[in-house]
Amino acid sequence: MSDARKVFRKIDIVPDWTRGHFIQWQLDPFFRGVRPYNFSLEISETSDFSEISITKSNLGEVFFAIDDTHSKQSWAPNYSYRVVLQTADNKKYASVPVLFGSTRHEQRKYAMAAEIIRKEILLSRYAGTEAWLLRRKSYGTKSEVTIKNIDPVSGVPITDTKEQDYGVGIDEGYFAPVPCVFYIESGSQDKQLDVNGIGVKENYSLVARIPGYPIIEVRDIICEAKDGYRYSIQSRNAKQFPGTNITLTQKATLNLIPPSDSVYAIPIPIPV
Amino acid sequence: MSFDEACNTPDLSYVSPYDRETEEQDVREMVLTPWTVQNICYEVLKNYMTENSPQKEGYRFSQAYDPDDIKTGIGLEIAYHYKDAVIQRRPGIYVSRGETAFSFPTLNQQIGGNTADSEKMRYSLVQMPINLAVVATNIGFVEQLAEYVFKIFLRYQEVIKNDFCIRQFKLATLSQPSLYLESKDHFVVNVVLQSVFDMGAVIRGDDLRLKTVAYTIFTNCMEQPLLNQ
Repeated sequence: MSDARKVFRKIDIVPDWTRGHFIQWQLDPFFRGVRPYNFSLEISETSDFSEISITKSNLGEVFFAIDDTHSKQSWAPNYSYRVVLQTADNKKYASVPVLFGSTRHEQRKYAMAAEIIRKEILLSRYAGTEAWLLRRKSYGTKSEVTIKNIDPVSGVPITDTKEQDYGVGIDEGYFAPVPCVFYIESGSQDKQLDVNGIGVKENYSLVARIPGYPIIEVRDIICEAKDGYRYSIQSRNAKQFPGTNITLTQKATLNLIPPSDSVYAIPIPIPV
Repeated sequence: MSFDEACNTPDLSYVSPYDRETEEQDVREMVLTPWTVQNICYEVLKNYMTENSPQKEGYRFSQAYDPDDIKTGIGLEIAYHYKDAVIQRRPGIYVSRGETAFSFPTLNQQIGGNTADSEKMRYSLVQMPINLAVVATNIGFVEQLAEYVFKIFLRYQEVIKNDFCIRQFKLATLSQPSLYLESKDHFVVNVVLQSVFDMGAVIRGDDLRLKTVAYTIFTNCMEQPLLNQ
């Protein structure tokens, strides 16, 4: 296995005792492996992963995994997580192990953080809006159709085509929708003729608060489940619990995307 | 007509066949003005893109123009036209005119006259750039769309020039792409066309509406120094 720090840039873990602990990662943008990637989540009771208790394998090209085994039911340093990336040429890259603190003091911090997150989720459930997060792909396969949408020399996408790569240059453009909730703190709407003569500049901007799960990134898309509006995440501000890698809450500036945009063709599950 | 006849005083019973009322009722052909030349560009684009989709021309992107505002995949608008009922459309092409320069290459702006009808033909030469702002969602796409647009004029600038009697009509510049941040990152490329066309007017003696201006102009202040006192 190679140096994990050259492959995985960031790993976040969010404890959720009901639905399962949420582990999310980002790959180093300079990492180049043979695609397609296949991720798996390994859970071990030993810190060196000499014995692997549970493996959630063949997750595919995803950006998160949920430990819904309910094995880890306490703050004790009994289970560690790591993410393993397997490339198409069968090379394996494992992330650094993550766990909810190893000392009693650290465990206490994780417990406090988890309680804050629980309340944030509760608040969003009552005051918020149900939505789907579309994470923009930074890695993935390029099918023959997608390759035709990319400049063969520079690799720059030359289209913005529905049901293909949506201008991202990777198959499907965005990962499968992940459920999320957000609530609006403030909003502003402005619709003016652009001074440079580029039509009507419509700016409908929201400041939204989102719990620490799922972790959002700039350029991701948030789709309102009921109204169907889709927003581009323009900026993100996150609060982490000091001394942990747990994101408590996220504040994002969302810009309404005009309905003529290709992202409106991305299918999301119909709300119940 | 002999020299003597020509020097004689004109026939005072002569009645001009033209009068202001009949002139205004006539159906006139289009006159080239900055607005109409801009609209010619708009219409050429509209008609061309309706019949020749980018896909027919070999471009990879799937969006195509449709004259129906709702169905269209590429917006085409005259710039600065606020349409409340129509949603913001990206990608889009916005047609606007640039600063217009008038020049008068003939003496006293005149290119002819008809003394019998007291006509004078005035002439000016108008130079005007027309800007087509092409907006799309990623840099590769905007370059493709701009290419689709400027190729129309590259191919047909000669035909447009001749058919619409525009003295000069040519593709002038293609701007560098620039970032235009709104809901998502958008990019703009300006396709600039240069046009030179004639604007003229025929004025007759009785067209001079300035005659009704209620001021007296002193030609000799010594004769009537206190006219209004």
